[in-house]
Amino acid sequence: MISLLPPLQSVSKSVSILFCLGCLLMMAGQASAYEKVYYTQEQALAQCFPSARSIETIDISIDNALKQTIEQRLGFSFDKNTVQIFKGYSTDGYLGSALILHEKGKYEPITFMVHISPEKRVSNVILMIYREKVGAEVRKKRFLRQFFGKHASSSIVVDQDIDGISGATISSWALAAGVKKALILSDEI
Amino acid sequence: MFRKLHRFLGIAAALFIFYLCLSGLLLNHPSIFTNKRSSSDPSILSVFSSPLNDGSYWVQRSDGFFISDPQFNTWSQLPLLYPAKDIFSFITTSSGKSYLAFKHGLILYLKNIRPVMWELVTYPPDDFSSIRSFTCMKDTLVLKTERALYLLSPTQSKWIKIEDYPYTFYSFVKGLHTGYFFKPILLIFHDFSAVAMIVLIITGLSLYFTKRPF
Repeated sequence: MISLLPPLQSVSKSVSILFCLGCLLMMAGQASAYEKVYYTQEQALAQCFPSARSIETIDISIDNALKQTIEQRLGFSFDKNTVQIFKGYSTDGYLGSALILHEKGKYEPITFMVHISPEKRVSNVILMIYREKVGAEVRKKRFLRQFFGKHASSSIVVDQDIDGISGATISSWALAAGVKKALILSDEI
Repeated sequence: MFRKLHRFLGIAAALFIFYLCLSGLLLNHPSIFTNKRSSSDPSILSVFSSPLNDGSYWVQRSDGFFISDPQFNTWSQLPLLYPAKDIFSFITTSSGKSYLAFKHGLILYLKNIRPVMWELVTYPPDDFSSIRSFTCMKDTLVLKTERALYLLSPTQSKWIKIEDYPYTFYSFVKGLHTGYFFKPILLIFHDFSAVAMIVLIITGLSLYFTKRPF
């Protein structure tokens, strides 16, 4: 009688190989296990400046005096020495600036872009990369829309003028803190 | 006799479920109680002694974190990027280092007092549970969360896990009962069920006591 099933030995060999491959893949992906890219820098800039003819990238170095001013206004330590700012221009003129921030959530930094209008008010917030295990709900429009129109003297604190998201508490706090930082930065530089 | 007993037990159970549903429905939306108060009359939630030992108080209010004189007459708001109403505790170690803990699991170090400047403290890894206790023993920080007990001494750079509180079937049942799981989705379901139950009880009782046409 001819058996249609493959020999047991070859089956076990294939299973072992597949298992090893799976383990290797898991190990390789461990460093960024929960990382998800929603927008690249180019995509986020295109969202912020849809009518821009040119986008200027400026690297601004932050000296000690400026750092101290920013820290005093924030009430929080600020450890960056340079800040990259994008300025959009259309045929009608200046469209405002955009900053990329990496605000620490509970464990990992949350990367997002804040678009600030020429009137120094938030006109867009785009979540670019989310790396935490939980709380990716902060990318939702209904949460991010709450920052629109805020300026440097707005409080921008969850449960004061921003409604947080349950299940993403620390991430909502981090985003609110980051938007406040972006506004103060654009105010000072 | 049994019919009468059944009727009384039914009414008692219906009233019990009625007030549970009504109170649950209101508690599901705490903003009904808090918003009205915090806008005009911010309440004092906790009072901590000043790390400066100057007789002033550091006060947690629903609208922010403040420094106040001992008589609570003057208030000066401290800069804080996170909601003050979620502050769990504010401690100062024997060497004068101050830390502010938030109940959802975030700790800030007071890097500078004048002007006030905070800094994030690295939190014990992979612990998304709430803080249950945060204190210090001389210079060592002692943190107890729902999941574990940790220590951080000045000589160490990382939190040391002392004890683990594994996730048990009891915590799962408790989480399910208190509505901890699937909060946004279950909230709608719970609200709907509570309203449905209230309507059923009212209509049921009214049908019970109205005379039948035949």
